[in-house]
Formats: sequence, structure tokens, C-alpha cells
Amino acid sequence: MAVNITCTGNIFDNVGTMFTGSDVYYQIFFYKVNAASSSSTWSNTRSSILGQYNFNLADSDLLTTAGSASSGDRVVVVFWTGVTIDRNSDYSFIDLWGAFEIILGSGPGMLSQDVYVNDVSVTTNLDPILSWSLPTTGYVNTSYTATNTSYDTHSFTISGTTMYHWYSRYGQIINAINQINNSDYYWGDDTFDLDVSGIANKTHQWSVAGTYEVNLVVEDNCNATVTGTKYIDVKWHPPSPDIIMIPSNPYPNEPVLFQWDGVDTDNTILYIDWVINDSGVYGNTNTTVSGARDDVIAHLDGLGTSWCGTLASGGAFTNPGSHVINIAYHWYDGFDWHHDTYNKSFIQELITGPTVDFTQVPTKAAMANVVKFINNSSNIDRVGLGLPDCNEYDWTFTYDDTSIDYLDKLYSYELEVMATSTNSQVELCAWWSDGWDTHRTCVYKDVVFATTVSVTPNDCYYDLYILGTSGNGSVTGYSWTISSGTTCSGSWTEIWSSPIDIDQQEKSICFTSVGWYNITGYIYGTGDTLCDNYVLYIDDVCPTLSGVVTCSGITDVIWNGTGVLDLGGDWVHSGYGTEQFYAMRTGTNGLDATGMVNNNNILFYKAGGVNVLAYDVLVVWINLLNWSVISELSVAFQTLVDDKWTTSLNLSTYINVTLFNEWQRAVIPLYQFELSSNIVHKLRFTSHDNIGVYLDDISFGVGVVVPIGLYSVAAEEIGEKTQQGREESISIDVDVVDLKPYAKLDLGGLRPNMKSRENVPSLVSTPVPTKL
Amino acid sequence: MGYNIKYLVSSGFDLWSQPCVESGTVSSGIGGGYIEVEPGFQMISVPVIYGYWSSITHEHVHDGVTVATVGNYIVDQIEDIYGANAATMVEVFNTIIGGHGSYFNFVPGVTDYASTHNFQLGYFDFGANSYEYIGFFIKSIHPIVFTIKWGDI
Repeated sequence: MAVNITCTGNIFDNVGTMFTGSDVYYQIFFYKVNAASSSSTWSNTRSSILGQYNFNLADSDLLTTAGSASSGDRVVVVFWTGVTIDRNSDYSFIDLWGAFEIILGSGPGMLSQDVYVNDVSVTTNLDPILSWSLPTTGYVNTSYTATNTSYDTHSFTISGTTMYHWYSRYGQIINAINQINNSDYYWGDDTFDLDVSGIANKTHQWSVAGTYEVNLVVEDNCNATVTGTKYIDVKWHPPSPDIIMIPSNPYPNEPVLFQWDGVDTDNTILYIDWVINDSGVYGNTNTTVSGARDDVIAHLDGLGTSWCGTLASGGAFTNPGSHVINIAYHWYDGFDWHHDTYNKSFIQELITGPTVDFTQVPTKAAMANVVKFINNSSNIDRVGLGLPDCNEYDWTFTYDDTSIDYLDKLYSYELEVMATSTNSQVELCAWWSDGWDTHRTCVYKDVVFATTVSVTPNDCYYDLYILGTSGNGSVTGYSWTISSGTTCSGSWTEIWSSPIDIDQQEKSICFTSVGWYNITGYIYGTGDTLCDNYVLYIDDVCPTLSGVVTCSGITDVIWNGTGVLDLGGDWVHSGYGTEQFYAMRTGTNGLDATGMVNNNNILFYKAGGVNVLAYDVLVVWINLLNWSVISELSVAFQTLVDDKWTTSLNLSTYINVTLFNEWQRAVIPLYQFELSSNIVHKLRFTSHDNIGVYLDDISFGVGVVVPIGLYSVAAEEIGEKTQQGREESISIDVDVVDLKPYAKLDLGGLRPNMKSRENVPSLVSTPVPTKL
Repeated sequence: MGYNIKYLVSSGFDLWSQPCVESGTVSSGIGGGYIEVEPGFQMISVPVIYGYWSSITHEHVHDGVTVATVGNYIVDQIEDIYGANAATMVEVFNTIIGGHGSYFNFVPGVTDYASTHNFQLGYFDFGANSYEYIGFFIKSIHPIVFTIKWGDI
């Protein structure tokens, strides 16, 4: 069905009297809310009929009968009286006016979806509604905004229906006269902003503190005005406190001044109370003083200090360190007095001390040579105490726990000492003052020695020795590597290495094959690891038999006969054999064990036993007098704990049984006895078949064996010495040849020409710098 | 001379009328009839030019002078016959008369009888030299059908 909606009602004036004629104009605005509804549109201006309005949305000047409207669409009806048919005419042409709105489907006056009956009214202009805000407090010379939100839209009810003086509705100007025309601002300081268009905000600032009455007058388009009044207390700005100390980092002998350094924009501070706290172990000299804001406050209570070349003079603070400076500043904000406090800490710095250091020349000392130590300390301005003779630097040289002092030396002094021990240290100390207290700052360094490896032939083996320090003079351990090669320049193949231990400084080794060897020793410490090497040609090897290669450094004698020339030998001999001088190898006596038949026993006994863990080999010197192809002399230990005899080893394995009437040494690795306990207390030699021998210099030994067999073998571990845990066991391929160390050509201690440092292992090629 | 009925241009409306003869003089002889008014909108026509309802005689008076309108011919009749405020039975009478762009809306109880919205039921079109009767909507808000009459009945 086509639209057919009737709206009608009576029209009343502002005193409730119904109009009776056609003297009320009205105009309808249909506002489309629903998408399917007809477009929004204004009707023509109409006149009342007998004081009534009456229209149908299907009227030809609205939606027409072909139009469409639905619930929710709006119908605004604007009424006015006057001499104009233009609802937006100037107020001088309009007397009374008002508007209302119908919401289709639910709006006021709805009799049904088809009929809306509302009595309406119009009235004269209503004063604009003043709405504005202004801060109640503020500061001078600061802009504050009077926010104007006044409006001229009103509602009123006469004869039932709520009517409106709308300026706009749904984007349409309903009545142009319902609007704020302009605003006048009176700021209370004889300044004003007049005719500010519309309802615009306005900012203002006041230059003097005080209470100001601010008036706002708003005027609508009908020349109606409304005046509002507000008050604002404008204050002077509060100071922003800060203080400074001049100079900011005073020396102990330098007085200081304090000053206000804050912001007091409006000069409101009348005076300031100062409290300069200066209390501590050196005395209490607090300063309390008052003054004008810009007064300079001095603090001159420091006693000052002296140091070499500088006399004491009055300083600022009695005590060094942090000082809290308190102020109370008194200011007026234009209304009230304020007494605010502030504090700030200032530092009386101490004088910093020197960085004490020295260098060693040469950087690696040579044993038994002079070495110098040169002072290269820095930041030394304050080094030296006392006047006029300054006490500056003390040197101390220590070697093997013996110290020598060289006191009160100048910076230019160079310490010269003779290097006699790798256990040497140098300490340099500087005396200085921080302004209040004296200090002695020291640096302590080990003397750094050059690394020197020496190889000394000793019978059929070689004594290795390394001397020196790590890169910073410290020593925490030593180690060795031995490499074999075909020429004096290699190439080298490492065949043996020792563990790293402080006990590895000396080492005894022997070789079983001729050839070139590169012996490298390393020194470890907290500094860089340093090394030295020694290249030599071996053309003389220890005499050996039956594929066992032995050699040892004698370290503990079991039995060597008796007499004043003998060392040790406190094991008790029993059993077969007699002690005779003619049977001795060295010393005074040896054991005559000739005439032995099968199963004769030669015994040696040690009460309480001996722990053999520290030894590697059993060394026996033997001289064969009678020996046949079926002869044998077996040897075994008895352990203390369980009285068990160990594996018996045949002595023929370790000697040349075809060599008679010559002393030869049998070196028997202890591990071959397969000891069940490390503590042994009996040693037994047992004859098999008829034999005759002399025995002497029976001992335990420590050492390693470096068997070289056609350059195809590495190293062999002997014994159970724990320090040698890194040594590798290998199969032995013996090449029995005469052993002649090349170094024998250089027994004077000089190293052979072939000695080279060019093959230093990569282990030390990139030392890590070590801080002192 | 013919008898035309003016009706809303919209199609589909229920136009109910009864043929009659208009003497143009007195009430007698114009014929008459009943119209059953259904709930809701209904389009009807009352082919009378002059006349009014007399609440004294309780019948139409066709005096040839008084212009018959929805007010004096139908609303007064309903209030007299049914003893009720017509606004409780009829919400609105609407029509568009040829040559007018706007509706005539007669709301019982609201629209002044002197208002042009109290539209005539018919008139003589001098241009066409004929009687023309108004077709109009009547919206009953009464829940049951009620009857109005016209003419000499």
C-alpha cells in the first residue's frame, strides 16, 4: 500500500493560546533512516488552517503517494510566525517558533502507524545557555583557556508536546536563529576579547599574580545575551631549585663557592638558608648561613694537604667524599609564603694514585747475567711524600726468599741485579697522597727468564734439564717431548711426551737406536708457556740384551756392600753369598755369589718394607763369572701386606750372558713383577743350575726408556710412576747398536750447532698474554 | 449528465459505491444505501452533494443547501447512531481531490469542521458540467464491521 500517513494537531502560542487562523507557517522535513524509504526531503512552507497543521507524507511536496516510509524514519515539523515564509530568516522577521519530531512507528502523538496527532506550540526567543569552564588557579604569563561550550538549543513544553529551538537537526538548519552569534571575554585585567565569533574558545595569560574576575558574554542570533562570571587565582611561578659548586671538582687545596642555580622566573625568592655539611673523621666544619638568592656562599674549611713539591693551602672541605648541601628557599606566590627545601650532593674527589709498573731488560733474563728493571709508572704527579726531600719509590728484589731493598728512589732509578735463580721477584712501590691520606701502591712481578734446555750424557742415558720461567716469570710445571727424524732438520715425528708437572724439570732418558732427535722442553705458568729445544744425533746406545731396553737414574740403593764410600744400602743381606771387597763394582764391597747350585737363594730384607710406587725400575749390577746356556738367575720381590712372592723374572733377559768378567747393568721394569702391593720388603735372587756371579749396586731407579727401533716405535712407559700417566706403552722393536750421543761433542755445556728453535710445537706458537 | 466517482489513482483500492440518481434539489428521490465499513482502510464514496446528518431526526437531511462533508454527513451520523465518539471508530478519512497535490486528512475529534480537511463528498464540476463524487479512504479502528448509510434510507 502506498504511503498514507497523516500528521495533524493544534498550534498554540507561547502563552498556551491556540492559533485560529493561517498565521502559523510550518514546514516538514522527512528524514530517511531506512534504506528502503524515500529520500529525505523538505516540504513546501505551509500555513496553518484554523490554527491547525495537517499534512500527509504522501502529499505531492513530500513523498507522494508513490513514496515509501517505514518505522524509524523521522519527521521534523518546524513552525514559526512572522512575516516570512522562510524559517531561516533573520529574527526580526520571525516572532515565535518551535519544532518537534515524530519518529515513525513509535514517535509522539502516534495513534497508529497511519495517524499522528500532536498539539504543538511556538514561543519567543530563549536566552542562550551559557556553558563554559576556566581553571581556577594558574601561573602568571601562562596561557589558560576559557572553554566555551555555550549553545542556543532549547526545549520547551506548552500544551503537551515537547518542542525545540533547534539550530540544526539531521544535517539540516532547522532555524538559523537558534545559534550563538558571538562571545565577549573580559579577563579582569582591563583586557578583553570582544565579538569572538560563535562559541569559540579563547586563551589568556596574566602577567601579575592576583585573583581575576573573568566574564563571558554570549549572544545568540536574536541579540539575546547571557553573562557568566568565573574567578582565577593567578600565582607567581614556583622556583625550580638547583645549586652549583664552583669549581665542580675541587682539588684538596682549592676553596669552593656555592650558588643558587635554579629557576626563579618571577623572582619570588626572598632569601635562602644554606647548610653545608662537612663532617667526618677529619673534623666537623658544617656551615650554616643565610643570604639573598644570588649571594655566593663560600666554604673554606679544608685544611689542604701537601705532597712532594706542593705546600698545603686552605681547601674547601674538611672531609673528602660526598657532601650534602641543604637549602631552604623562601618565596611568595602572590598569595602565600612558601618555605621549601632542597638538597644536592657534591663530591670532594680524592687525588688518584699512580699506575705503578716497570719493565724488565732484557725481557728474558739469562742466568748469571745482569738484568735491569725500569720504572714506567704512569699518572705519577702525586708520587712523593714529605718536604723537601720526597719519598718516592721503593724497589725490592727477592731471590730464593732472600730480599734486598732499594728504598726512596727517583723515578729515573733503574734497578740492576744479577739473575741467579728463576725463583726471583721484583716489587716496585710508589708513595703518594690522595689529598688526605698517604698510600703505598706496589706492583710485584716474577723475573722472567729465558728458557734453556740442556742435555747431559750420563753413562748410557741422558739427563735432560730445563731452566727458565713462563712468560711472566711464574712456573707451575714442566713437560717434554721427544721427536725423531732422519736429518738434523727433521722432519720430526713425536715419539714420546711427558706429563706436565713441576717434577718434570729434570728427566733421564736413553735411546736404543741411532739417529736424530729433537728434545723440546716446556715451562708452564700463569704467563705464556715458553719452550726450548735441543737437537742431537745419537750414535751410541745402551748395551742391551734380549730386546729389553733399559736405563735409569739411580735414586735409591737397596744394597751396595758396606763401607764409608757406600751410600744407603740398608737392606739386610741373608742367604747365599758373601760380602767381599773383590766382588765390588763401586764403593768398598760387592757380593760374591760364586759356586751357586740349583735353587740357592740370595735374600735382601727391609724391615717395614719400601713403597715402590715412586720408582720405575730395579737396577742390578752383575758380573758373570760362571754361566752356562742352561743357567739362570731369577729375581722376585715379596710384598709386605700378604707375604706373596711376585712373578720371578729371569735376569738373563736383561743382560748379555755371553759377556764375562765385566760389570753390566740390568734394568728391570718394576711393573713386570706384577706386584700385588706397592710395598715390598724382600728381594730374592734364585739360581738355576750352577752359576757364579758378583752383585753390587742394587737399587731402585726412576726414569724412562725411549726405545727406537728402525724409527718405527714410539715410547715405552716403565714402572707405575703416577706422574707419567700420559706416557704411552708401545710394542718394542729393539735395534741393538752402540749408543753415542752427539751431545758428547759438546760436554762443555754449549749446545751443538744443530740446536734449533724452528721446530717449536704449535703449543707455544701463539702464547696468550697474561696480565700481571 | 453523467455521474463520476473520483477515486484515488492508486490501483487495488476497494471502491464501494451504489448507483444512484442525484436530483440536485431536495433529499427525496436521490436513492440511498448502506456501506459496511470493515476494519482498516477501505475506499468508499458517498454520492451526495448536499445534505447533513440530523441528530434530532436521526437521519440525513438533504436540503439542497448544506454541503455534505465527511464531518456533517458521516462522522455526525456515526456518533449519533452508535452513541460513541467517532474517533474511537474511525481514525482518519483521506482523499485527494483532483487538482490538489495534497491529501485531505480528516481526523475525527481533531480536525476542525471548518477546515478544508473536512472535505466535501461531492461537488458540481462546472468545467465538466457534471456532478463529481469523492472517493476516499476511511480507516476503521473498530474491531467489527459497522454500517453507515447515505441518501434517503
